Order: sequence, then structure tokens, then C-alpha cells
Amino acid sequence: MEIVRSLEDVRNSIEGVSSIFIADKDGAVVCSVGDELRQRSAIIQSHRNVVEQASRLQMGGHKASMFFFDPTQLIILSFPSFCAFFLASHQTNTGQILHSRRQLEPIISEIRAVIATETPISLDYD
Amino acid sequence: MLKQKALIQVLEQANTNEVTSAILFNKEGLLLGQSGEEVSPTWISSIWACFDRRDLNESIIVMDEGIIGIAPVANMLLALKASKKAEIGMVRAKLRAMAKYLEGPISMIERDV
Repeated sequence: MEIVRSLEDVRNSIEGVSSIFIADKDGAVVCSVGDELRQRSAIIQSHRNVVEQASRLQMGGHKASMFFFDPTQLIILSFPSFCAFFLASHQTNTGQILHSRRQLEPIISEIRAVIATETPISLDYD
Repeated sequence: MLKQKALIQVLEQANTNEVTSAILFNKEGLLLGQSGEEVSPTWISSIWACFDRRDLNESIIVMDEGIIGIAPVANMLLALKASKKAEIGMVRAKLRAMAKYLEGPISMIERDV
């Protein structure tokens, strides 16, 4: 709950951001706030393709991507094992979204801690 | 007709302030002109294709070792490669200015073809 609230605070701190979601390295959405997007899985898949193609440019690891569409912008921030996706209006301050990395770092750490403490479910019968 | 020398001279103008390469190519990754450091148009066109929609105006990819900016010019793509020291706003400004400048001449070539 605290994670969602903190993510909601990040969203509210930047004017024009309609949706934020965080996905793990397998592309599964871990948490999201704001508008529910129908094309979320398509966005995640496209991002994975971008990272794969960009790795061939020999420029190191992926840090961030920005895609400016006609009425919207999509900003993706990479963290170790996680990615944060921001969907915002075209007028939204892109620099402010990029600077929200600092606010997101403790949230990502908390998600990582929650996942680490989850006990694996065993499917074996006694 | 496209004057290759003139095109390269235009592209060269982007190569300041940590921008190391400017490249014009088609969406299939075939090169029209390049100035500065070598970059593969194949991989850049593949990056663009991942999110290619009619309303995609511009894309910036920030990597550990540099920045790639991509924008459409008529039916072609213009890409700028910059070092990690470059400011993203500067890369975007150059990308927009160059795309706007090349839009007219490149559209004319397409009409002729």
C-alpha cells in the first residue's frame, strides 16, 4: 500500500502524468497508478525490443527512453531488474520526469525488498 | 537530384557540443548520408520500428555511454549520436532543427523518385 501511495505521490508531483507503472525484468507489471492502459503489455514488449536493439550499438546499458507522440509522451526509466513507464501529455516537463528517478529509487528498493521476503509457493504435496 | 556532398555538409553542422555523428537513412536501414563517427543505421531503424506509429515525432534513447536521438524526415529517418556528456535538451534541439531543415529537400527527392 505504501509503495502505491509513494508512486501516486510521484505522479501527483508532475503535472500532466496520467499513468505510471513499474514492470520487472520479465515484463510483469509490479505496481501501477493512474489510468489503466489497454496497451500496457504492448508497450513493455516494444521497450524490451528497443533495449535489445540498442545493446547492439555498443553504448553500454540502457538508462532511459523518450518517445514523443502527437498528443502524448512515453518516458521509460531503467533500474536494475525494473523499469518505470510514464505516460504523460505532450506539454509535461520531460526533465521533471527524468529527475523523478531519485524519488523512484527508494520505491524500487522497497519493491525489491518485498519480493525478496515473499516465501516461494511450493506445488509439491507432502 | 540529391547532392551527396551538400547533404554531408549539412549533417556535419550538427557535430558540435558532444554530438559526434549525424546520419540520414531510410526506414529499412539503408544509408543516404553520414558525418562523424560511424553508427549502424540498421540498429537505429530497428529501434525506431519498435514504436513506429504515424504519430511518433521523435525518440531519444539514453545509454550509459551516450545518447541517440531519432526523428523522421519525410519518409526517412535522421539520427544524432552524442556522448554521455551531452545535454539531452541540446541533442533534441539539434535534432528538431536539422529535421526541419532537411524536410523540404528530402520530400522533393521522394517526389522525384
